[in-house]
Amino acid sequence: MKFSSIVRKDVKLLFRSKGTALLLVLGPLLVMFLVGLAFDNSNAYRINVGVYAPNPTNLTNTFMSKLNHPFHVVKYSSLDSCVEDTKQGKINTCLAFPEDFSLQSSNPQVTFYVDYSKLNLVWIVKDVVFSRLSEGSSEITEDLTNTLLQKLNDIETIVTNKRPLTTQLSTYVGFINQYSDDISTKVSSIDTSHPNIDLTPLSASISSMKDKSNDNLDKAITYLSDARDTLNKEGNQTSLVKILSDQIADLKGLKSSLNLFYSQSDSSAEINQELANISYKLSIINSRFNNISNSLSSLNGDVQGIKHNVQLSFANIVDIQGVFDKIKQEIDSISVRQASKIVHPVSISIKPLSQHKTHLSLIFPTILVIIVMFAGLMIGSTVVVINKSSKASFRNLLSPILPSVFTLSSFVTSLVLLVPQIILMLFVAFLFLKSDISHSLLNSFIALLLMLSLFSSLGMLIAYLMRREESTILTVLTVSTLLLFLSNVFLPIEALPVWIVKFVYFNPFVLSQLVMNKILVFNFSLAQLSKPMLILLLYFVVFFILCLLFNRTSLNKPKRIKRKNVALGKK
Amino acid sequence: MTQFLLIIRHFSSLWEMGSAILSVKDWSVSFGKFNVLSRVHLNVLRGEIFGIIGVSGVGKTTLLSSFTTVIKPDLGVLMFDFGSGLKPINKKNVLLYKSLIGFSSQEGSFYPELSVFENLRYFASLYSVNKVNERVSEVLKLVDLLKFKDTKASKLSGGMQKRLDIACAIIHKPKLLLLDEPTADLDPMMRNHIWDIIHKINKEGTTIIVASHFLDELEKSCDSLAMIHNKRLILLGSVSKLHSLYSKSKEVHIRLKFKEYSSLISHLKSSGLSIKRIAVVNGELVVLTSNLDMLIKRVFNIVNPENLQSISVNEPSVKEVFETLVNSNFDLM
Repeated sequence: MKFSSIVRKDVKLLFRSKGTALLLVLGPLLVMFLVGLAFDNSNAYRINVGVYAPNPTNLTNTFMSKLNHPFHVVKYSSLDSCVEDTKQGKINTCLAFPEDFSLQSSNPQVTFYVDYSKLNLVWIVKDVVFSRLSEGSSEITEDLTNTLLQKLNDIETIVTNKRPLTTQLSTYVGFINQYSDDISTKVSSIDTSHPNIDLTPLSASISSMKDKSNDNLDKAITYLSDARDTLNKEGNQTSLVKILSDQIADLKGLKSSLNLFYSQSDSSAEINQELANISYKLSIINSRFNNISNSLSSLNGDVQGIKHNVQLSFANIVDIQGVFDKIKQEIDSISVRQASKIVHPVSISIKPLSQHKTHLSLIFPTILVIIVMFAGLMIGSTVVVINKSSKASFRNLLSPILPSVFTLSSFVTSLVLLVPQIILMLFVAFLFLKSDISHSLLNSFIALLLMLSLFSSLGMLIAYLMRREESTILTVLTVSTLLLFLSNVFLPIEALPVWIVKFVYFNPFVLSQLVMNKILVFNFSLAQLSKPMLILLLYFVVFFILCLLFNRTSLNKPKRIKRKNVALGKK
Repeated sequence: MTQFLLIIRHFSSLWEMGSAILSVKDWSVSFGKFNVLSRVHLNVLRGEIFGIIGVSGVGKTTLLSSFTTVIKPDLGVLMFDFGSGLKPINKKNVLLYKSLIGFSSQEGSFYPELSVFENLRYFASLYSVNKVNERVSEVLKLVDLLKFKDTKASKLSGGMQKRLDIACAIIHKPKLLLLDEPTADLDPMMRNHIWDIIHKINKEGTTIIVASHFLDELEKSCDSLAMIHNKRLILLGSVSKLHSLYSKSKEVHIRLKFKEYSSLISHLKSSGLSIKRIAVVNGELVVLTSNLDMLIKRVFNIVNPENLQSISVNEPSVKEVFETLVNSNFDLM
């Protein structure tokens, strides 16, 4: 009864002040709604890109078309106005193309003007615009590589097609070589040697033959004469003697004819003359044979020269074949023939660890924890401040209610105000990110309840510790800012000094962020997150106990009164 | 000096009699190094209206607040009659004690954002009041705020807010009601109204301790009075007793035609009469003396009868007694 009355009263008090109610209750929901609308897209950011291109070329148009989506491209006629608008924040960055921006120009450099004072945006702008420009550059490179590859393919085709010709050529050259060898052999085999015809022996032979014929004729006549004589002596061989006598007579006639022939000078001269003519003609023939022999030798030399050249040509043809084969082999050995693969030999694929489609679903846990932290701190401290600063606080002090009941009531009031917000936030998030968080709604709710308890008790503790309302608000803001700074919301934790990092991991905000991230993004169960959850629980218990202690002190005795060893009713 | 010792004796006897509902002894309160109250002894009788008077800042509110146990004393004992005689307040019975007392502060202690009814209902719930709605209506009727029960407290007038605060203080029917300056910042009509309410509450059996600087109001309404000055209790007793103690002194008002009192004052001062106070107030000479007859004779001797416009004798008011005591720099304890 008492407890619920206090809670009801606190809730009423908060809602009676329209401004406070709007700020505390609708504030987080409004933030949630706006953030939801802002981040519920698949594009990172809406960026205005100013472009200055003094001489628009196809290449600049290519780049600009690349930038046109998803950016809003604003064309400038002068570089100064482009840079000035970047300074004024009308555009996020200014890209300046050179006058001769083409692939043929020696240095087609695009200049980037960014405002580094906008620290949080400049890296995003750089990153995103660079990626779009790199994409454009890559496409151009890919086109060029495609052309190159096409040429290479053509060469390969030519080499492949023409390779048999070299084989034919080498065959033909082989034939020529063979023919040369044949010619050479045949030429070599032509015997141009000729006997040296000497007619003197012939003449001597003729003389000798006359002498011998005379001798032989004489001998034959002698023999025949002897035979006839013998026969005559025997007498009975008259016929035979006659025949022999006839034969002797013929032989003597032949001898006389021969002697007559040899003895006639004209005949001998004709024979000699004929022999001389024959000798002369033989010398001509001999000379021609010598010429033929010389020509054949020369021909053989030429054939050998041809053969040598043919062999050299053959070697060259073999070399050419080798080159052709090498070219083909080299072209064949190029395993990557796709321009895209050559331009991007290693394709970097950034795969999300979770299947979330929008940025909202990825940053949703952080947003949720930020809202819970601020709402918890603000509402927790506000509930206490309202009671502390109220005119009625003195009457509460007078009532027979233990201070711990008021502390617990304030805590429950905070939860009563915050829990519907969580439910509403999760509901709204469920509508926006239906498929992304539906599996972890219950775990999210439990974890958020713990976080709300933690941050509410921290807010209450701050309010109990601070005497003045403004001190409470300032401390709450300072603490929340500190918690945010010592997390990876503004800077990566790794960027912080090492000695701070050790403590940062115990930052309740970081722990909460970790828990919500793992629940919503990676679908962790609460059992898997027992360690951080236990730490958060410990934080909550410590903060709540401190609330009880400090509330008791402040309720029982104003701090400015020096406590002495005098209890009520005792001296 | 003698009369004050008599008062102490009187109250000591009362203490011993055990009719007091609240009693403090050697009650000393400090804020840091600044000592506000030093060794205060007093008893409040059951059913009476007990007035605490003193100049602003003397420690009346501190004394009342310390009775609620919200402000801790440096020294002293606070005792309360829970029904079986006075018992020291300690950690064990402090909640019970709190449930038996009510307090209405000068500034008011309620939630301006809540309605009159919501305030009373809330505070009733803190004291586990049965039949809350009936009790709230009853109290609202008592403080004459029934018509405004749904009005937001912040929208009420000063007098209404004071009545609401008193209503909040009595919602749980306390045995002892502590009222701090209940009529401060109110017009005379409203002050009377508040006092009517206080009397009604008192008639219902609630003992009331009222701290105020309106001495005349306290004189009219209180059964007993305690005067605080210079950290200490300098006067304590019932109003009638105080009057009787001061009966020997009379206040003589002398009005002269020519308004020239200097020679008369010097004559009277040098006359050797017992004159406790002499001053010109509102065009007449006021003399507080215990030798009334002798003083009048002297005045007639000194003043030309044609010049003497009027002469009258009054009983001294509590205010005058207080002023006398303050000016005489009494040190009672």
